[in-house]
Amino acid sequence: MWPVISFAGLTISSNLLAAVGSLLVGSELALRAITRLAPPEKQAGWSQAFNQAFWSAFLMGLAGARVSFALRFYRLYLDALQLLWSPRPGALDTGPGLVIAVIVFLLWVRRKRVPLAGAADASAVGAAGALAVLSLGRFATGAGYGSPTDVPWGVDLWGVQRHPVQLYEFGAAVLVAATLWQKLAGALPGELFWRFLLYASLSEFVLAAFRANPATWVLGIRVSQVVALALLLVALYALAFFAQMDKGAQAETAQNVRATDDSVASVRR
Amino acid sequence: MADELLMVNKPRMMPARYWRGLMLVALVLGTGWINYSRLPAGAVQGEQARSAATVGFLALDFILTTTDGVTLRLSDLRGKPVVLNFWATWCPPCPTEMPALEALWQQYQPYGVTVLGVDQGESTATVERFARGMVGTTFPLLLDTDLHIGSLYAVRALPTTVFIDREGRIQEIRLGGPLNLPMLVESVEKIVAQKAAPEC
Repeated sequence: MWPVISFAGLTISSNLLAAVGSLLVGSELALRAITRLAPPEKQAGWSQAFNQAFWSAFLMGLAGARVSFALRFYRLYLDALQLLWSPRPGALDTGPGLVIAVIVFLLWVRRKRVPLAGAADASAVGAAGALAVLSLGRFATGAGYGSPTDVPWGVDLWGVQRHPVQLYEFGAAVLVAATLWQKLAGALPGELFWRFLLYASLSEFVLAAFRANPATWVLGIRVSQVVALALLLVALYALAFFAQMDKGAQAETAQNVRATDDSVASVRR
Repeated sequence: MADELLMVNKPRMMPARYWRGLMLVALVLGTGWINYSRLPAGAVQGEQARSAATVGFLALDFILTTTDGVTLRLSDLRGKPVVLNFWATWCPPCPTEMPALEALWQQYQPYGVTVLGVDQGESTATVERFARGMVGTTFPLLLDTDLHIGSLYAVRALPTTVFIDREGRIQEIRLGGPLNLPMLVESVEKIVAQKAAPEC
């Protein structure tokens, strides 16, 4: 386990390093994806708007997370307002911060006229990359550790040989990112987002079984597996809808061409 | 020509019935996998009985002496939430967070919370002069002179603060600092799960 990494006299928390790494990798991948998704004449515009939306959302989310935390302890902060500027990541409420970030992102891309489906697709590619880096961070800190095992690739953690479940998660996230990247050309608008949800929930659904000490319901049922299965079904339903749309669009094109064929033939006659 | 176009422009996705079929397969296989990978009761108990210096495990037991010469065993505090702060006088953020730890001690002592400062490798005189004299702390200060407990808890950065619940289980480990009072209160609220009435 490496909860902190020391180099050049500096000691940095692995969690922080993974968070920064995932942010950089995720934003870079998403930016490249939106550039590939955009029509050639709009590539620069979409890319710039997406970049601005991403970083605005990040900063507003960060501020929102901080204010939300401070509001929970407002009496303590009222006594010492300077504490509000503490840069410690532990003083952030991630849930409200995430909600604010998503709202800001959506408003921004809408304002800059970037199609929501395109932005969601690009974000999905970025999210897969970010998840891969976060998994490495979790492996370094030992968070979300695996269940005991005797497989040859098990890792020794706290005196027990365990599944390196975070490395499985890393592999799955890289695979998801690569698959989405490969499907960038030719995907229907919004399709990649639902595919990401499908693959990510499938990965969680399968790999959660190798995690030790999870949150459980009655009879030892793992909560995260039930949630992942529900999301997986939602994603499959959405993809069925997309397929229906695609088939409809193809049929319509064929019908139009058939009508044109008929009219050309009648003119010839 | 229309038929040729249909041949060339095949639908980009598998048909809807394929995805609907997958929904059914996912539901059936998924339910089976959830059932197969259920956590046996024994496994939960086995994991929960382990001691390790990480979140979710029982805190590793130790015996140390305070600056007042009193011997203290961590497991004797079972039943009380404990805040274990690894620190040293030479560590820059440590003195900055000491007043917050003292405020926490004052505020939560009536609820049974124990704050323990574990000094890393210094003498009684140094610790007393600094913590009692300069900062004015009153919570117990333990001396880990040979750094044995620090290494047991894998302390790789100072300060490191460990939050242990009434069961003796580690609920949170905060690496680095300085932590301020709201941050400490947030973590302590987690380990004081069912707040007992003040004893005073």
